[in-house]
Amino acid sequence: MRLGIAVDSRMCMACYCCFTACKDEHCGFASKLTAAQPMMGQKWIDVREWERGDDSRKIKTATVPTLCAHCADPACAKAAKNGAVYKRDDGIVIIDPVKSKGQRAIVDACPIDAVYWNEELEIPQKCTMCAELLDDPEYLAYLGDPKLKTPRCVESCPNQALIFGDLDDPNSEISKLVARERQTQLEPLAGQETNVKWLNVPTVYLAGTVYHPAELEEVFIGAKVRVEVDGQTFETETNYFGDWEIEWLPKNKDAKITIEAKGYKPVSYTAKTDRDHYVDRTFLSK
Amino acid sequence: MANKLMVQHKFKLNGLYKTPEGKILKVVLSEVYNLRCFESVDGKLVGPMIKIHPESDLANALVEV
Amino acid sequence: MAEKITHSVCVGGPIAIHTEDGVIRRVRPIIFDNNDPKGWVIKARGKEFTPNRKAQPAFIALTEKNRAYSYDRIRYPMIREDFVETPDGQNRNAENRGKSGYRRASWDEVLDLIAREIKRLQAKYGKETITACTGSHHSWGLVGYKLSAFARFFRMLGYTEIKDNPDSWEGFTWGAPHTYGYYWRLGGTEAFDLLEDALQNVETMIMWSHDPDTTRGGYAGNESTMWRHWLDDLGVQFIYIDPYNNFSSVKQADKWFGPRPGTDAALCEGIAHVWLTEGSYDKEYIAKHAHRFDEWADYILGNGVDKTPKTPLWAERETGIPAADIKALARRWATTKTMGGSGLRGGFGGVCRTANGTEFARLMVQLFAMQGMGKPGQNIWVATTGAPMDYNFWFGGYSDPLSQIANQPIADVTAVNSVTQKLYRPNVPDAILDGHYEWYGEGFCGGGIDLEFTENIYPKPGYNKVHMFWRYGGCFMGTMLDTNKWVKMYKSPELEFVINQDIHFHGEARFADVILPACTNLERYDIGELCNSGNGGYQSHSQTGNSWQVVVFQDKAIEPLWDSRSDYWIFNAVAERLGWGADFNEGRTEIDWCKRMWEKSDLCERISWEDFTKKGYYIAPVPENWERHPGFRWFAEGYPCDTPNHKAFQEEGKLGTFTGKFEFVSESLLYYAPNDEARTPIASYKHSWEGHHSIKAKKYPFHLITPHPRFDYHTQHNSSTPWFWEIPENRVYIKGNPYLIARIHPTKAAEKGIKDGDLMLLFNERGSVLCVARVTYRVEENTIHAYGSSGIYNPVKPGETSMDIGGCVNILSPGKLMGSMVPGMAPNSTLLDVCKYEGEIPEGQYFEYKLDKVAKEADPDAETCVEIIEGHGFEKIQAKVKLAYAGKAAK
Repeated sequence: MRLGIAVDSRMCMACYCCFTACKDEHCGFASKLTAAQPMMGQKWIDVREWERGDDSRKIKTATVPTLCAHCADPACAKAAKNGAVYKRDDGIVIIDPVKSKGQRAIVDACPIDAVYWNEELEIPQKCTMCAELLDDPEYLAYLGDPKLKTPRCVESCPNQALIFGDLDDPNSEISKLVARERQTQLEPLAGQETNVKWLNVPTVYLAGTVYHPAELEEVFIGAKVRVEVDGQTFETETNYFGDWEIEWLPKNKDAKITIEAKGYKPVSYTAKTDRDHYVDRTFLSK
Repeated sequence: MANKLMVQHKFKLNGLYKTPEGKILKVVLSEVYNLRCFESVDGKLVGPMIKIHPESDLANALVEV
Repeated sequence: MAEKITHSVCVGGPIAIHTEDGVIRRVRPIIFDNNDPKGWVIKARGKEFTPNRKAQPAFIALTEKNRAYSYDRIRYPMIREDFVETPDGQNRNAENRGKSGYRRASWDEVLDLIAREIKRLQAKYGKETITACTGSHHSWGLVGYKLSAFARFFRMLGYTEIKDNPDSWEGFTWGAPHTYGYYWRLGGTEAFDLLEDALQNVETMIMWSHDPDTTRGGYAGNESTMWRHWLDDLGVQFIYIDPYNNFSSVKQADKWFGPRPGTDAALCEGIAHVWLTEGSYDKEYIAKHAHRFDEWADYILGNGVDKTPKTPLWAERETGIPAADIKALARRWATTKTMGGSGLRGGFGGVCRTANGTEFARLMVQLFAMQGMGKPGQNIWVATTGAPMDYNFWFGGYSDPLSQIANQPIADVTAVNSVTQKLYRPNVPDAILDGHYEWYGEGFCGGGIDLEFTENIYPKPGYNKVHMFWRYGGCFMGTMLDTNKWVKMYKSPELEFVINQDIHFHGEARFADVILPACTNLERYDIGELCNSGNGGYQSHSQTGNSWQVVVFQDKAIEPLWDSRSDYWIFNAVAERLGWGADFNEGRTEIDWCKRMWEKSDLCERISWEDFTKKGYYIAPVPENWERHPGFRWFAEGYPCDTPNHKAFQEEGKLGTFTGKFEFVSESLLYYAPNDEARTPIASYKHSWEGHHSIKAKKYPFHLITPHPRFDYHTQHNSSTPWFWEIPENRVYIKGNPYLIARIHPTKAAEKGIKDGDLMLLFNERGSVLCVARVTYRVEENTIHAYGSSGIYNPVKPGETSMDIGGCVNILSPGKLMGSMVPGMAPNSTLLDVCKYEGEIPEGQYFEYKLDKVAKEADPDAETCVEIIEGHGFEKIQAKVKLAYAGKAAK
């Protein structure tokens, strides 16, 4: 059994239910596995949100709930002395609140800043995947079905953006979701196996709008847009708003954009895919 | 699916109606399915909500008081 | 360790509460077990859709534990330090209200004082001398909430009622009924069964001034978020129109338009111009269902009195949206099945709360009429209502007279107010300070379109002015208009006695002479249904905004903390002091009243009282083949109305306008208000009295929009939950004070020398508010966006109209109503300027010492506010309560 959480960034609306439920469970309350989370300052699940775009014509946000990845080979465990960080049989990574005292290196080792330092107790702290609740046979026993028991963040998510289950079971909901959706490991964890699976975290888009010659005051529907990046070609057409957009571009590359429409002069641009970019309002001419 | 009942035309909201048994009912709601009433005794609305289908025999037998 | 699980429901949704040894351990969403009924299944486009098997509260509901143990809880009855109970009501140091601290008092002392003051004032001035007002939704439940215990007490006492304005959707109330009726729904339309219709048919969603993930369908929590994911997955195109690229838009929009604030009506007219010139509207429908359409069309095409064709280019000049884009929008709307709209039930985005809000609302209705409103896939519907529901299960909502303890059948005797004098909430300070106020309207005019034109005058002839104000719940500093006026009012000796009854020490409580500590929902009994605002009420069957219909026994999870008591207990205690306690309570306890709600509704047929209170909730199942009554279909297809909330004339297939049709020239306005300059018989875009054409714009060039908050519900959660101050899009916690985020466009920020994260002062002639700047392309260039309803009010000079560091931006909004005959408020017609703030900022929040002082007086070991916010105060409180609980158990 390998317990994991799938985080589907596309579904996350940054409603902060997971954040609040996690704080509700851990702030001010210690458990067998962890000391209490301080009332303020730590976010064991942190809804990291960034703006995508450089123009009010096209702007989106990425919303990525970020918690301990419960890595297969945790960097924090390697940095820890005397076994202060351990991995349970179910894959959940736990920091021992006693053994870890004074070990700030455990915080520093985390590639995604998901481990927090408790100044007062001088210990590192992080998400336990609510293992203390999963372990407790009494907890939620009244529901009559152990399957209804999930980590607090998952339980509170209304958007199906957090899915909990056994990654070793190919028929589990989480396994099916991970198999179906675009797996997008967080960049600092690139190449690492983790039990938290981030899905659909965006890379970079390029977008623009195509118009007929300005004096006509008309958008241009159906213009062909081609983006060449890093030897790959992406193609699309302008929609009913004259808009075009290409998502999931490889990052930090040079891009060449060509816009063509029959009977009009082609227009081309260059851009860098280091950030989401609205290329232009393109006015075609004959 | 058209509603042929014309409920609100037939019964006055907050009106008092007498049943054949002599009970006085106060109509507190009229909606698609039901006329909803309470029995009125000495000015108090007693007992549970009474539901009457607007096309039922009972509905047709109600007399406004 | 005994763990007890009880349930409750609040404005954020239903919750399960775990308590251990008398203290709340955690608050969770209700997860349905295998005995709970199956969810409905909607079949559409080859797929099946069914809701998650859990109630889906918003994050605010998950803070109920914090709200109970919050740093700003009012722990004890308190009396203003320098309050003097003079026999004539004068010389009571009223000018120090807001400034002075408090001393702890006993319940007996405050109750006796209140009873003496009521008797003194009533003897001197008559019953009308007392006025009282509730905030909205600081708690939930049919027994303890404002239309129940509060209403029963004050109606029996006799008081000058303060009429609420429909502050969340003003333009719809005051405008839309003149176009299509529905005054009984306060201008909102009927959304019955439109979720299924949308999933099956819709191609385009126009989300105009609508942020469903923020306003959450009113009280429906996150019950509808999955519906929008479903529509999105089906390829439905979402077009958002809002000067702020709001939180729903920025994640889900296929296209965002950010019009200059207050110009949305111009955009409506530009769209209409395209349809009229291109003939792309439903001519057959209009011929059959529209009244005086041609006169309106003439006006749009430039043949009206102003001789100005409302071309897309004309609209571009007003809105800032390119004409080409307006044409594309109009064509997409006309050529695909389109639903959308704005205004009511989750669409509280703000356009309808501008100077031009009535005209926008009317034009919005007219545009949907032009595309055959009511036909499959064509309707006013914004994906926050219209789920399947068992309409034949009746349980009362808070606005149902049938489910209020003030009325029969719940009470044996209905409480009736003997005073007919009234006040109007947005203008209470004007009335008190000027001693005279006149206005049109009856608050919520759901009883008839004529009520909008009721003439009111204060003081009413033959009546005395009010001299005592009893505020109950919430804080108007954050929700009303030009709210420094409220500061001035409270300092006026005209108010001889001010009581504030609340759970938390909100900004307005700090102006009271006597403060009464009410307890939270978790400390008392109540009963209520998720998002049920009343089946006979203004938003009838609002539970269709949920995926599940959940009635909850709001069990008492813990004993009232400190000296707090339930609102019902407080009102009953005062009634007893006044000699009519037995009439007030009719011999019932709070739990007896709860049981009356069960007994007098369909709930008693579905589940026994014992099973209900044991399980804690009941879910009303939707029959597998539920009866469909799609909203407005009856009108489009020409049969008598069959929706659950119908009126008599709808049974004849007519709308609620004078003509029974869509009135493009309003006959009701021609009849009642032919000279109303704000609402002309032909709805039209008009320059705002505070907008970019105003003289004032030369001095205050930015337009503030202040929609309903994402990180709060009214003023209730943000102040009590410091965790929310760690949300970067909400607030920034600096030196003990949480500063509100205000958003500014990068171009303008650069002109002002403001960088992201800088302290930014928002100011105009009405006041100044210090915020933290978020520099973002998500706002239209001329717009400053800062959420309204700040629960935190922290003036740097308490009791004065000074700079606020709490984020109370309503201080800046105009006190003016929408029009001389339109009594709606328009906080989104606010002009202001901004600058980088480089002055001093204080340590902490200004009121904390007042609470700390009283707490320490009562218990030298008491936790201070800062200890509860940042330290172990919360744990200490819990430990003390646990100890007391164990002691009680041992006895």
